Amino acid sequence: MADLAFNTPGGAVVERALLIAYLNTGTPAAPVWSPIGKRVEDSSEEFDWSDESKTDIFGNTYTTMKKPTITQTFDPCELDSSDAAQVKIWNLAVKDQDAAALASQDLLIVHAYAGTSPAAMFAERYSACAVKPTGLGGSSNVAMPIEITYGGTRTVGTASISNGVVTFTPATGAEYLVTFSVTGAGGARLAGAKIYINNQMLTTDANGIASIQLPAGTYEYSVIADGYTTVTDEIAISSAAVFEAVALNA
Amino acid sequence: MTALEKLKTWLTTYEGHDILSEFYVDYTDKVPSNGGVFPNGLVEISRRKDILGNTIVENQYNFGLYYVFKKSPGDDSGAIINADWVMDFQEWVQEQSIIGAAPAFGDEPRTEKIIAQNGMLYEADEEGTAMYMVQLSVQFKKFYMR
Repeated sequence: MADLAFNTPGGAVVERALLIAYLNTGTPAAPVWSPIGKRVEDSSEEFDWSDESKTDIFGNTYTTMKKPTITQTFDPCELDSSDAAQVKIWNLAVKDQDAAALASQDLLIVHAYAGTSPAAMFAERYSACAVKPTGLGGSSNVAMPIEITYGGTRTVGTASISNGVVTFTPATGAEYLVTFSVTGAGGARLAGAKIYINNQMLTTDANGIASIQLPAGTYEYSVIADGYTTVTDEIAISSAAVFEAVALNA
Repeated sequence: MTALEKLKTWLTTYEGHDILSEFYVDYTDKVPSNGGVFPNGLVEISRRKDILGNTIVENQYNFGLYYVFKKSPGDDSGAIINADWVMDFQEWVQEQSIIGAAPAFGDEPRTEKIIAQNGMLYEADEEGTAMYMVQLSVQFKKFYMR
């Protein structure tokens, strides 16, 4: 996806209401996007880049970063029967205490200030988010604060909003080549290693290479080989082929 | 029904209201057994916006209530009757507000508050009339959904 411009007037700050998180209160195949945050006056996505800095013996500093883990808190989230997202979360958390379901919620973040409004605004869909109510109660009204950790496969695309109905369209149907190169002891190329990604299993060839075509998104993968410690990591595909080198330790 | 009509209709349900022969809006005469309500305008207490762009406004209507009763100079028993009436009226307003019997003015009736306070003798004259004043306020919320 090419770089996007903000659609808001130059010199004016972007209104907070143009960044909205939606919970899928429908099904994965026929999503119904319900906004989260009614009566919440302040909530931000928090980015944890797992950044680490090291300074070598010459005094040079090197920093590494990984794809961010994004979390967001909605507080106080007072219960309201017209809030479909809240009703769904309440049922899963309070009525059913269904931890597994709460840990795999489908969420959409719409950046209505980027792209073309209201027909093609930038949006990112996370297939398996952890939605965790942290309490229930309050003084005069019943509140249910919520913590969200965005996770699962990240699919970018555009969202349109018409009469309050949000529709998400993945960026393209294009798939990109993902190539794994697996090495073992002494850096030797490892044949026969199993790679699990996107519910598929790949096997490395004699050169320790395995490939797959995947749409843009972030995928978790695991590499398994006899006599080696399993490696689990994730790979991000945006708009180009990706080469991933995996070194296994015995 | 306007907010003022709603308020006026509700005030007439106070059981002591029957001692009043007339109840006006912006009443200025000093005729015994008459009363009136003076709208003192709307005050916006707060305006908040949530992250979805919805706006919640907390408003307060202010009213002055005037009641004219007979009370000759030095008529202590008459003064006590009048003062009791005013005090009882204020407690009635409080009770109506707490039990949810008062009319709703906004979008969240459960959280509304109507307060009658500072009831006092405002003015008394040699001709045997006394005007009592009670301050009435109505706090309510309005929701403006995006």
